[in-house]
Amino acid sequence: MTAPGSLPAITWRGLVLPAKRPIPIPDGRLLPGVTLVEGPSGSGKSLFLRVLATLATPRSGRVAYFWKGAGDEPLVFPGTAPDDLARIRARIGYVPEAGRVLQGMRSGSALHYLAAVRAVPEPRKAVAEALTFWGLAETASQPLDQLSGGQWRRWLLAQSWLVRPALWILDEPARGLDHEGTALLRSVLEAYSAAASAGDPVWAVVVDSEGRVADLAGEHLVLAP
Amino acid sequence: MKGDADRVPAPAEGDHPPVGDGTAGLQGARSPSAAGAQGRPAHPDQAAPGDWVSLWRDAADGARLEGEPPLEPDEVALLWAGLRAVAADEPAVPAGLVPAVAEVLSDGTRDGAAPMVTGEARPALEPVSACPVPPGWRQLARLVWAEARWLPLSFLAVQLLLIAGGLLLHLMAVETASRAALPPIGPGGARWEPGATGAGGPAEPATLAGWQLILLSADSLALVAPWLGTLVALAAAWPRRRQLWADLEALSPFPPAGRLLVRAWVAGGLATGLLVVAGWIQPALVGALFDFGLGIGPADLARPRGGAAVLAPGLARLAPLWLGIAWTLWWQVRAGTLGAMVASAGLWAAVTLGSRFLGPWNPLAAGPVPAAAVQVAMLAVAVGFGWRLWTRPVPVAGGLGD
Repeated sequence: MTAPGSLPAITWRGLVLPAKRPIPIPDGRLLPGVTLVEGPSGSGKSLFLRVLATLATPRSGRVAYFWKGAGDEPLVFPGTAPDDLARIRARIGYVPEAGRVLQGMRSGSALHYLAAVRAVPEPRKAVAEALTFWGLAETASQPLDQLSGGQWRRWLLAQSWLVRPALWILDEPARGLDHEGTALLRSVLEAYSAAASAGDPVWAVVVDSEGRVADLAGEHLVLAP
Repeated sequence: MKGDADRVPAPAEGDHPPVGDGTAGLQGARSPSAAGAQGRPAHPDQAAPGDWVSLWRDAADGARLEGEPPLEPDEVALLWAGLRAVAADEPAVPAGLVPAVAEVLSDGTRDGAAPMVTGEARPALEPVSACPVPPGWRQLARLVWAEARWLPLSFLAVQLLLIAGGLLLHLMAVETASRAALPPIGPGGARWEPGATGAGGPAEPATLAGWQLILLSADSLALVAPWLGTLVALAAAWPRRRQLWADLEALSPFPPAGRLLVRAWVAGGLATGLLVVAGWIQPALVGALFDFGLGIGPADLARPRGGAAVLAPGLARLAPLWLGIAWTLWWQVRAGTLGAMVASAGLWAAVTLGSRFLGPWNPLAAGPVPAAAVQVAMLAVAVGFGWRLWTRPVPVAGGLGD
């Protein structure tokens, strides 16, 4: 699959999500900018995001990304070689919907650890910037499981921004986020829109059932129940 | 997000919502399409002054249609005051933040990294150049260090418990065995001789060099080593298998089995170190408790003799540990944690039960050739498993989030 014309796009064809009840997704594409994924509960919004993030393998179908692999072939998932899969993942930032992990690990340490796992070239700098930018500097020494709900959401956003993702995938990012955090999130989403308008191949794909950032979306993708 | 200039101006003190027709408010209302996909203002500070009036009117109309009493103006005033308070508390977002971040994104999509403009109250953000794919040695070294630095303490505690159990097992074995039945030291070292005859023990304490002690202890802990290896492998996969964290880790450019291996290296290295430390103290402990009279002192430990001669067989005796790790990892990747536990238990239980029939070829037995040759073969198999795991192209079953 390739993007039609010269427009940079992430496209999918024949996609069936791997839920208990298979969920077919109509063929489509994501143009650069902010896209809101909508649909009723059970329509597969979160699962669709996980497939886009290469974290869940669809029952059938493929996602074709804008970027090229080592052999100058379009990168696809599933079905790509491990190195090419790593090339996709290196460009993705993912904010999951919920969950708490690694009790006892400190907020800053967890970011350092993830920076190492994600092979961030300048990990110290990236972590320091992420902590400061998302207003978490004072919580760096605080265990993850002691963060407040809003701080936890900020931490999830911060970890996703360690790599400055070209494809930013956000599952309910504003749920539980405080006002300043929401303002920052909106700023960054606006920046994605601005960068996309300037011709840069960057995407932000958002599920936002509370509608706190929905107005920033340039495109809407509606999944049927 | 809009800057301060775009915020909703606070109404004058004492403002009340107009109860009349309110057409001025209606003029300022946003269309649903402009306000967002949900057809409502997405955030209070996006609303123009008077927006709430139209919303209030809509709500009142809806309430009337439903047969419910509409909100009283005082209630609306209270809500308005609350919204004002929220708006007043909201911290400012620098006006330059959006173009700054957009520039970071633009730079990030190009090859080179360039400095960028920063927001007023936010730190500088600089583009992060994409990580090399596949990651280089520097990134691998950072990953190993990170795994070592944040090794779960619970794992360390269980490891210590297992080794302590091994020591206890050995003490019990020694207690019930005759002194003559103690295993030989190794192919390159001297055989431990109990010394003088008689029931009272050696007339002259035997002296063991440091390396000999390690070999003796590695032999003694051989029965524990495979299970320690199993623990190492399971611990490498276990603590971070919860889906959320696994998802975050899955975006790593390192192959999934590679990350598992790195954890196993770290945990296995620690286990090796603990075995060696246990090796240093174990004979002394046995001697102290059972009065075997081994002449062990700091000088002996500091001056290992024949180190080169016993190094290779010494490493070989760590083979059960490393084969235990590799074997368990191999099955962990293919069959998940339960499969790995069953496979590991099956292998080592069979080897242990069959040791009587394997004789000197028993890989868990102490002693020189041919057992040492078996142990070298075990190490080779462990390396082979490790190599295949590192280059494994398929996802990990039930672990590491893939």
